[in-house]
Amino acid sequence: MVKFGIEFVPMDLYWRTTFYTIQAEKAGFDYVWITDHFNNRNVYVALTTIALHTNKIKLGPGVTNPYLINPVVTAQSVASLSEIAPNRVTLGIGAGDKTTLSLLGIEIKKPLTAIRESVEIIRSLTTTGKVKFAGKIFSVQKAKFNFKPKGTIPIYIGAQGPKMLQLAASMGDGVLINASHPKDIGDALKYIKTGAEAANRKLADIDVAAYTSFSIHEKEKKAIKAATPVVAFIVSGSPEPVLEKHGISVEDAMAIKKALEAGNWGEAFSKVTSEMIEAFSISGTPETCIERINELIKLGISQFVVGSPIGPNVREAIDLISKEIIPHFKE
Amino acid sequence: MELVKKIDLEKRKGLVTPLIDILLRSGNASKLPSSTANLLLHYWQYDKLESDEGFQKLLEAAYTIEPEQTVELLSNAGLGDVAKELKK
Repeated sequence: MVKFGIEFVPMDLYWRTTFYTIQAEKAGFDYVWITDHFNNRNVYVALTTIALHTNKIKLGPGVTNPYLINPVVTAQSVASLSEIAPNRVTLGIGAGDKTTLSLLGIEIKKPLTAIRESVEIIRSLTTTGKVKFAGKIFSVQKAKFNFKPKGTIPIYIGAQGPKMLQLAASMGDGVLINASHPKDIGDALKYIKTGAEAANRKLADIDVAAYTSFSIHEKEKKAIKAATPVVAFIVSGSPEPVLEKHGISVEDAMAIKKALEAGNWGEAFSKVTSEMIEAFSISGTPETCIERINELIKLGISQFVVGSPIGPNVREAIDLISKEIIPHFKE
Repeated sequence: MELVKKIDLEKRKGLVTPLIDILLRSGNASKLPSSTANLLLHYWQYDKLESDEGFQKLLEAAYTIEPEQTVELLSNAGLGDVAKELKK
């Protein structure tokens, strides 16, 4: 049975994010993923508050990166969190967001190596409490926690490109595919299968999650309006092959990017087309959303992540998901 | 607490969601003390927002950040007396 996850961005007050997570837990969501960007509230502070106010939902950063946060510190953070919520903590790690990291003068170098090494370091520390590691990017002479990590902490790798997807399938407990459309998820699954086979792993042993941009409302127009700003940013940051796959011209994407960079939000959002909404989000009425989720399940995903914006009104959207979406797939 | 006891359970059930929406939509939400927010989260987690203690906190929280909206909500729900007392 497919699992449901939900993503929150800790831009909002801590108690609102926690409120929504409690609501999501009651609604039947299995996972909550909290984004990690330096300019928002700290991900582990958000997760700690959430851990203290929930009972069963699994929780973790979705996703952190090894460039800003050293993997040893990440391991320490999730292991500490696991003391509060044993066997509920998960870790999402990826190469990071180029735009955000560049603001700090950080360059994403050798992302595959960085992720591979990070996962090895974090896994060792969270399972044994110690690590000795000599890699190409990270080197840990001798690190040992002064406490014993509690519970198991599955590591999910955030991936989009073919090589990262293969790596994720070769060593991750799960893969977070940053996409919403069947074309992208289908392609990603091909690479995941290749990566799993190369590592002698079964696909069934890997939790394959579609980490989507999602917007739901009883009225389609309202759902689409809420998704438009998110889709504008996705389009402006998408590589050419991805745009081409969905029949979106590079010129159109560039026009949105330029408008966003100039702070002309209205202009940028007005350039978002219905094709772009369909390619980069799941937006619409419950019926449309069920149809789109079904397509992804048929392709082979095992977790569906409801990502930003969730809906024009988050509380109402979670309510709608709990009444119309989750029961459809779980009952 | 005496104030809250004047509101029966059925009325409270109908008021919980609109009061929560006041908190979630308010532009003054940062004025809410974290001690109140933490208690509200506790009551929400354990489905106790309709209890005497939970509803009292919820009412206080909404009134703290959006007094006019809260009074209007109570008045529209036929709880004008409670709204008046809340103002005091």
